[in-house]
Amino acid sequence: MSISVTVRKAAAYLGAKGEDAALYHRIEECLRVLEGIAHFRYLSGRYTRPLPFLLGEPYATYLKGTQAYYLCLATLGAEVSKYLLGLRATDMGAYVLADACASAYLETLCDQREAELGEPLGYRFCPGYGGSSVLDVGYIYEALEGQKAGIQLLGSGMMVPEKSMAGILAVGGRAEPRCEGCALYESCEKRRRGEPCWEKSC
Amino acid sequence: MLGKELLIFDGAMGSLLEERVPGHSIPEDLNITHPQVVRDIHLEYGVADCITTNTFGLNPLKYRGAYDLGQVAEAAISHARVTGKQVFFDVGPSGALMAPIGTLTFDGAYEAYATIARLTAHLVDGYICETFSDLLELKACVLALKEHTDKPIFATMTFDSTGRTLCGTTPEIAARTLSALGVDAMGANCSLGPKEMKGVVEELLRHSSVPVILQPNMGLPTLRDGKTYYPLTQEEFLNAVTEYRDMGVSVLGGCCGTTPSLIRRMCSLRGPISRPRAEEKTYVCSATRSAEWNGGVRVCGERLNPTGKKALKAALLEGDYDYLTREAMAQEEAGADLLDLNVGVPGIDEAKVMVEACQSVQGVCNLPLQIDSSSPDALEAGARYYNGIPLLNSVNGERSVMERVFPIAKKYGAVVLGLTMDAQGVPKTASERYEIARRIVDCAGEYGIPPHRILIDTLTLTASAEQSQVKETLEALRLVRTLGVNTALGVSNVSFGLPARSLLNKTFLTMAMTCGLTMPILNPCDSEMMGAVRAFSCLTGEDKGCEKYISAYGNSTPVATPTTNTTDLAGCVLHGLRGGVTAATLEALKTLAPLEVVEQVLIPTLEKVGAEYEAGRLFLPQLICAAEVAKDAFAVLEEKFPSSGTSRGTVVLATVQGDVHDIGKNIVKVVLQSYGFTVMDLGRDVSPEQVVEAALESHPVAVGLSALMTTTVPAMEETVRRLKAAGITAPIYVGGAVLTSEIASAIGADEYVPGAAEFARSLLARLDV
Repeated sequence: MSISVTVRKAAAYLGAKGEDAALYHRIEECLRVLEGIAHFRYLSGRYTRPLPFLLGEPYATYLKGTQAYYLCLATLGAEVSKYLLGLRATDMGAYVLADACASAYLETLCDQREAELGEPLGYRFCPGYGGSSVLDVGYIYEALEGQKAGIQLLGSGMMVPEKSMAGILAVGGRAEPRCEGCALYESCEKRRRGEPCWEKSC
Repeated sequence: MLGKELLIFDGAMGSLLEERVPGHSIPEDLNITHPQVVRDIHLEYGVADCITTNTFGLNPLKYRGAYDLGQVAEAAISHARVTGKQVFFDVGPSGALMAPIGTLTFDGAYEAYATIARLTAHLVDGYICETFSDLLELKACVLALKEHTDKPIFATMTFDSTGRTLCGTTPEIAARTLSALGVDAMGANCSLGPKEMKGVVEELLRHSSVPVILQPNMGLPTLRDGKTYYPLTQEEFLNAVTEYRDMGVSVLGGCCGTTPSLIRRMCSLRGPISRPRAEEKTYVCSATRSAEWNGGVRVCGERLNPTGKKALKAALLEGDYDYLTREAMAQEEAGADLLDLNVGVPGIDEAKVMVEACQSVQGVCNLPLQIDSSSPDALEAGARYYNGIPLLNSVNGERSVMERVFPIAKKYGAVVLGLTMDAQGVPKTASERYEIARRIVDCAGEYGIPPHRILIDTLTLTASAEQSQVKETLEALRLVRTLGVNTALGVSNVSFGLPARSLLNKTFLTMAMTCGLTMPILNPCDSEMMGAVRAFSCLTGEDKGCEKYISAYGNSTPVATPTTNTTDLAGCVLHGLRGGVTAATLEALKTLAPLEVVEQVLIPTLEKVGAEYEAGRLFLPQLICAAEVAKDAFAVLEEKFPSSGTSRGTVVLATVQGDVHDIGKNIVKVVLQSYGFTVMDLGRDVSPEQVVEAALESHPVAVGLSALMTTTVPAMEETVRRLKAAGITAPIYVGGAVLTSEIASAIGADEYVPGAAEFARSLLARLDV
């Protein structure tokens, strides 16, 4: 049986090690539910000149040698948040599973949309990576008018609905992801295990 | 003229401002800094019948410009006035999401729109509230405008290619809810071009009882180098909207990408409008689900009524709304079509609790609600904050009660349940109950509430005490149906005091449905009762092709449940078997005292689960399941032995201000509860003041603070500082993805814990257990 990337990603988020058929089955069931209720919205814009917030590090290194880049903003929508809220009140175990599945599902949908852009793209660089400020999400939100996707930007730099993502995609980018500079460097279990989050699950 | 002749609204403002004043960031400020530019655009749109002001973002919650709101509003209105046409104030959404998903409260939204109304009511000819995605925010806006002005209100929502708004509202739900709230016109704008809007337009025209307004985009845009391009031609736009005019759309304008030349060409579409009447039917809804009566039976779940339910009463008294949401979701899963919500418990502020309960349940459950109370204040509070069209339970035949409740139903667009009783009590005969029903329907008509917005409950009395009344109730159902209303009954009352209650309930239910009962109020988790409803629907043909019946019962082999020979409590915890925990706990109590159950069985098993998790042989959901089972065991111990001393004390938990992620905190909560702690969970985005207040009130053994992001660590530091300043001596634990022991120490916390199990172990060690 072939296990999708999304399933493996969700399993990794749950801390699962090795093959676990029962877990994969639960994840697949959950993903089917999410597929039925998600209202995926994806906004993107192509730029050839760096916006002011991208002139400094670590963005300059990420965009080095590229002629263009995309800003992107995506969300699974309010109904997924509502579903997670309900699980939080009724079944904490199911909630933890669904939370991981929703994160993995959002990433997969973004990967698919990015493939449709039809250009060679570097890895998706999200504010907060490499020591960048998470508040830089605001620049992306403003540029793409995030409220049109039904996303609210909070003062802390977080977005709601909770399964939302903002990022930058270098066209033809050659920068490689790395752990150094990440805000979670000290506490990161994945780094300690030698399984960094930026490595593909399969 | 509205609804009889086509009205033309103007087109896009933002895209024209961007062309003429490139690089500006706050379009509304251009009313002050570039008045002539704004006036020129309005004049170019001067062929339209109605001009909308350049105020889309002028919302107290959103506006970040340099000027006073009133100053910008007045300037904007005066610029639109130069056209000599009707001026509609453009009201856009706040950009914030409504709680609980986001941070905007209903009252916060209402106040923002009330501010706008107070500033402008005397200056404008009407309001257009547009581009809303959230039906509740739009309701707050409409109510604020209605309660501060008497000007016409047009309300439009924005639907995307899925045919829903971003919050999941369909055109049908939007049309019926906004019509019920009494707007002057409703419709759709933005997100889609005219061709893509066809499905939305069809639904709006089918369901809106007020004129329909449409303002499409100039097709679907693309963004390149920060500029937006619209590919549609004017001919394509006009062809589509001409069709919509012929279908009955009463007001046409344009949204993003449209231009004065397009609007000029649209003026040629002016002329008389005709459209079929919207279908009238008994209809209630939330923002995402509806329940309508079109000849069939709709089940109303009764489990959120505290009468006879000790645990629900306790939950309401304690403000434990998680209990309510669990009951709501269980009923939704069991197949209820709507839910009764009654919070009538002595000692509580019923209106306040009704609002909180309604918001909590609607935050997670999609089903429409029946707001059930004998207090008109509680009915009104529930109806006001409700998202959608509610059912109000109830009125009766007393004139004074109807005069109090019908205006509430009229104002909030609610459907009303009427009880066939009055000051003299419940009549003995069916014909007398019919007369009361007729009085209710007639009085409702005086308030503009037609029969299809009424359900009548002919009242179930207990067969044990009033056996002859059972047939009167059934006969009354038959009679009141002739009034054109739907009917309701609290079915299980019939069997009170008799043995084999479920048999009587099921039989009475079937008899009642045959006599015309269309809304049984019952426990949807009772499979026999739901089976009777499904069988009735199958046999009467409402369930076409018996599809739902077959789907429910077609696979007659029982679903295999995981088999285990484990009945002992340790095994239930280890394997996360919630089904067996009560029996296993009671079994354990046969040989162990409650505290021994905790210390010799639950705690060691949880330690084992934690060790398995850390070793990578169990994963997080299994850890949580085990903790939930242990928590259930604790609940059994507490219920059986309330002063057994099994509680280890209270822990206050909160996700700090500005942070809305709480998965870690929730896991900590479950694990601490599984270890026997009472948890006061303050939720997320909690201010330092709230944390201090809770700590002073509850005298906790510990306070736990969670933050996910570096940007919210300062809020955590402030909370720690205020706790210490308030003299709280309980240890302060902190945790979250970005925290480390160094950061914890730097902000003054007593301990950093990387996970839930570590928190519990550390706290137990501190308490010297």
